[in-house]
Amino acid sequence: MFGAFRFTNPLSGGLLWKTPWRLSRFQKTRQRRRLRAVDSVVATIDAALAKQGQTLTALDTWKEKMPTEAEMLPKDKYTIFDRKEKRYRKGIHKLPKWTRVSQRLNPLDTKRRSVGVAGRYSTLRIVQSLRGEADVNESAWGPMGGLPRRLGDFVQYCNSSFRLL
Amino acid sequence: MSASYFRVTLHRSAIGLPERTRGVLAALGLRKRSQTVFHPVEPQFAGMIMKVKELVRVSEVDRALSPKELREERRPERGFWLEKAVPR
Repeated sequence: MFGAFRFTNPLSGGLLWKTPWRLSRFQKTRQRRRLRAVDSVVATIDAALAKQGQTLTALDTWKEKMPTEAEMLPKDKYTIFDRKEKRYRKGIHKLPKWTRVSQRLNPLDTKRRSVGVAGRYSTLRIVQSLRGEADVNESAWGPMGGLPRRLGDFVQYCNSSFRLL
Repeated sequence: MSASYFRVTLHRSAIGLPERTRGVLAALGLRKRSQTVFHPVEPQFAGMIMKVKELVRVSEVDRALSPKELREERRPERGFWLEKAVPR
């Protein structure tokens, strides 16, 4: 029971991985910093090319599809969709090379689909509607009482409602 | 219109990343971390930087610095300061 030869998990089974299921506060901070660093690189390239009057397909696609760090939900910043996981989410640190790849968008999972607002639209569509790029049916925003005016309202709403689930 | 350059510094290593990514870094002329290269602002180079945007730090500058000037940038100031005790 006690002493040098006690029966512990690593001794009995050999290998024991202890990867925490979620990110720590400091890992999250660094993750946000990395996201912003990528955003700033994209912004620099965009500004430089715009000055020359040039365009780049990859850049346009990125700007259209990818939310910036401020536009992302915390859920998408720190977790990733996984169909095998309970509640379909796992920590983003389970993704190989996660500090050096861009993984910002996720499919809608079933829990989220059951929520009125985010259910009908992906985060991308909602972000687009807030930017004024996409047309979203106003009546679909029942629980919030109309379209959110600011991105912050939406993020706050999502956070509170997702936590309840 | 004055010519401008991308100042690209490799911040994160590409160890363990796909061959394509490392190929892009090689094409940009980045071999080791904190190495800096200059490329003109053109869609071709912008596309290459977009491929490795997670690994580099980029700024737009007016002219390309020579290796000698880059080295001068890193040189600490000569001489020394005399630090006095803060009066209490």
